[in-house]
Amino acid sequence: MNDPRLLILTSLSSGPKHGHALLLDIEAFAGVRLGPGTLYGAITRLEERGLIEPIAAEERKRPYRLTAAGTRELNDSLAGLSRIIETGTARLAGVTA
Amino acid sequence: MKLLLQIYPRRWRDRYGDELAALLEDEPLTWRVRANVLLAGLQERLRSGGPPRVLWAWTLFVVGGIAFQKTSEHWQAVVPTGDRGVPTAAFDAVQVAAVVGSAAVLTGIALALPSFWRDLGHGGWAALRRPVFLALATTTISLSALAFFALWHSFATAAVAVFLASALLSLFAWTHAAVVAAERLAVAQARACAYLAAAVGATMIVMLAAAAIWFGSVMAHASSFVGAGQLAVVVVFMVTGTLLALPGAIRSLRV
Repeated sequence: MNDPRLLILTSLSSGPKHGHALLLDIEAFAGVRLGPGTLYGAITRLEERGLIEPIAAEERKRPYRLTAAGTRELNDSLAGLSRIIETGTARLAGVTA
Repeated sequence: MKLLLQIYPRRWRDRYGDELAALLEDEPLTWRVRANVLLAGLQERLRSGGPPRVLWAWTLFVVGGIAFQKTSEHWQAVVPTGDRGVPTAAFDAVQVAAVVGSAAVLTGIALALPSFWRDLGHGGWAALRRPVFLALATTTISLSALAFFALWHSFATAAVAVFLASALLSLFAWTHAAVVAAERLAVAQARACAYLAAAVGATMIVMLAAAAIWFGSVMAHASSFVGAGQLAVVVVFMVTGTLLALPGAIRSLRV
């Protein structure tokens, strides 16, 4: 659940954010404090894959937003995670019952 | 902080450097943060690959190759005539691959030269000045040690150590300067350079395999012919060079 790429996509699903805003948002909803190097490594990969894109920079801070491909990727990832959570929850319920 | 960002490849810094610097200004610069940026920068450098990094790989391999050449001197003396077929073929394969690899490196440099000359007048020299001066300094020390040998016919251990260390540093410093220059270039024949980089990677694999066969077949007859130290130098530099070249060579084909 602490895959930086998934965390960034999830954070950007509520709107464009620059690096520092991403770190704060991810810490707030996931309780994970990404390192700046990790964050920008993940941003680099996501941009290379066309899942996020930069928008006009605010001075040196450049916000990013999800692309259509990024939205699809996030949907697929979350659907996969949901299946894992449902399966795990059901199996745990069987064990504890 | 600027120093910390230098760990990233130049192209990455051009694209994300300002943003990361701005982010670091908002973060307390703890040792954990520094280590995180350092590791991420190294990862980017490893990922950046392509023809420039193949230069580093080739240099390391050349050091291993020189050690191999030195190690293999007079090997025929310890292998019976009838058993020389395999080591001879392996040794010839190393030499042929070395010639092909060197030709590929030199062709790549020749292809990059026009862009290099143009870049010198457009900020290239400012970026190259320090690496070139460092390379000149180490070369001067190396040549001074060589002059010492020639003039005094003395091979004192300290002088030999200074010569070997400065020659190695000189080789690395010139490689660094070449990589700095290469990373600045958008070579017109990028595709050709990518194929050449892949060819260099392929010759390294051939040389590594042939050298392993040579060591195996020679040491089967005289296990003490190759010293552990010599073997370690050959293996470390050749294997490191090959490992460094492969991702770069594969990645360069995606240019």
